[in-house]
Amino acid sequence: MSSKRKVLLMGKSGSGKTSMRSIIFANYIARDCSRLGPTIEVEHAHVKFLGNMVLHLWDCGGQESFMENFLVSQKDQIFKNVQVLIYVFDVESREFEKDLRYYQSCLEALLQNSPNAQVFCLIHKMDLIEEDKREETFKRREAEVLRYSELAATPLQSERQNAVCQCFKSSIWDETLYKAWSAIVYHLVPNVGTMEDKLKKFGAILDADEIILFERATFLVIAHAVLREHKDPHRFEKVSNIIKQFKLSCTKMGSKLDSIQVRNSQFSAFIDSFTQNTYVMIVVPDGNASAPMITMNVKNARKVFEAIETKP
Amino acid sequence: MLRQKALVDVLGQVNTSGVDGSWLFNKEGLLLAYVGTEQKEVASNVSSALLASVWTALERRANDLKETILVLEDGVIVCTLVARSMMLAIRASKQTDLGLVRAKLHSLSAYLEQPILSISHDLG
Amino acid sequence: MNVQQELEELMLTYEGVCAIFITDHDGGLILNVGLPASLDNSRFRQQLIVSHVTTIPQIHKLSMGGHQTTFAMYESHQIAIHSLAKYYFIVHAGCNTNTGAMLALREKLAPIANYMMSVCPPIDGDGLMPPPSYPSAAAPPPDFD
Repeated sequence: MSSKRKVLLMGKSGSGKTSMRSIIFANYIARDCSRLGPTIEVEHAHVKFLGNMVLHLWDCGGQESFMENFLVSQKDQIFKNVQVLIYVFDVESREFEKDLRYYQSCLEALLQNSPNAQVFCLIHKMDLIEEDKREETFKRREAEVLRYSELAATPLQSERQNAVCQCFKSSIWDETLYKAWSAIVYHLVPNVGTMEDKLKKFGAILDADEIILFERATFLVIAHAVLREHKDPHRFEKVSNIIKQFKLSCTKMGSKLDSIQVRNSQFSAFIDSFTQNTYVMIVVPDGNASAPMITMNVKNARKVFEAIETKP
Repeated sequence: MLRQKALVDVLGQVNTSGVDGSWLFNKEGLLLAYVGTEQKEVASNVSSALLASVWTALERRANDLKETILVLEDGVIVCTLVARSMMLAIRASKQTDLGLVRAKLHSLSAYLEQPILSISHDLG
Repeated sequence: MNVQQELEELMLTYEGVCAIFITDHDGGLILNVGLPASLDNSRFRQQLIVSHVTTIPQIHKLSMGGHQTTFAMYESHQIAIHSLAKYYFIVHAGCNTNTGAMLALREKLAPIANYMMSVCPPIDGDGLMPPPSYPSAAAPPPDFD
């Protein structure tokens, strides 16, 4: 498997593709995004992810004239050798039908040219919807997206069983952005299974409640092991979001984040730089857990995880 | 890997006949584990820091320090090095025979030496 | 009582003990008998006193009562420091000296300390003076930080 992944970022003009890319991969914070202008044709970005993997992001401008071009004259160039298509919908769009038709055309083009590509749809700008209506709106949009996905896939069903994509709701103003992107990169990282196995064993040794592995640059969750259930399903993304912002503020001060400890009477949490490409977070159900003990064990586990990461 | 539970079990084994506390901590004074009666005024992570600082002061002059014994009005604390980087300390009441306390210290440190060496040797 | 003579006799009675010196709680040298073999006497002595005096506030924070004896065993020698009255008695010995004997030496040194207190007590107001409740303890005052 090549370590270079071609990732298409598509969607209608102004739906927020460049904003989310900038937050996740270019250390922007949400309010900086108002400065971004519209993307002309295609912007290419190479981002290093997990050290040896390069995500080649094709940020495709969403104005209609560009879209027509992508689907006609540049069809081969754009849709060949794609590993992932991320299609962004503006939840507030007044012409959702039209967006969906564009999506269908893009998906058809993709399935012809890169039949093995994975497809993720983000229903974006969810923060504009009133909180109690979000889930309902999302469900409605998701159903429509899935319907159009099937329309695109039906003529090619012999070649591809499952063109039906996964949908996520997202907003750059809260942790949903991290949840969506973590789920996407989860599919891109090799050896995730092995990593999660090892994390489980590591957690058992430490008597931990939970161990989470974050990618170093983006702070996206790439693997986790839950040894005791926790009631908040959004905790990973919240941590990603908070720590990433803290890390950025450290960078502004000219220093580098190395580790964080948080304790109360019920638990201790340790965030520590781990392998070359990751940070690890360990939650122990003991407010007096020994920090040097955890640190020592983290250092010992580092070798094992570095070996998994560098495995081809 | 060092399991907290296993370490606590081992440290607890010396807490008999007059011995009422045992610590494992690093030279910076950070506690790895303490087993024994908690003192009211001084938390175990504070005493480990104090013991490490006493050790460092006595070692500053000659770096071949092997063992210290602190005789205080209300008890005795003996302290030694394990696996070059860790410190082991044992507290006993004043009535306890010092020879017994030191024998416990030595056998505990001998027992921990190899396991701790193996997990800390390539950490630099 | 001739303190110098008493100390010299004690030193000779205990095999391997090569020096005994007495300091006040500020680390000022009061009396010195014997010469630590193979070591530069004065520099060695001063470092030893300083490193010991700095540990006293830490030991006090352990809240296990006043300091009585610190014993340190090195590869090449052993040191016992006894707090008696307002003095530190520092005993320096080779590595083969009986450790128990060095600790028990405290009993022998106690009368000497008491005698010294009666003839020339150290000046009051020293920073590490024991509070009145611990007559023999080298403890800093309660507000000592």
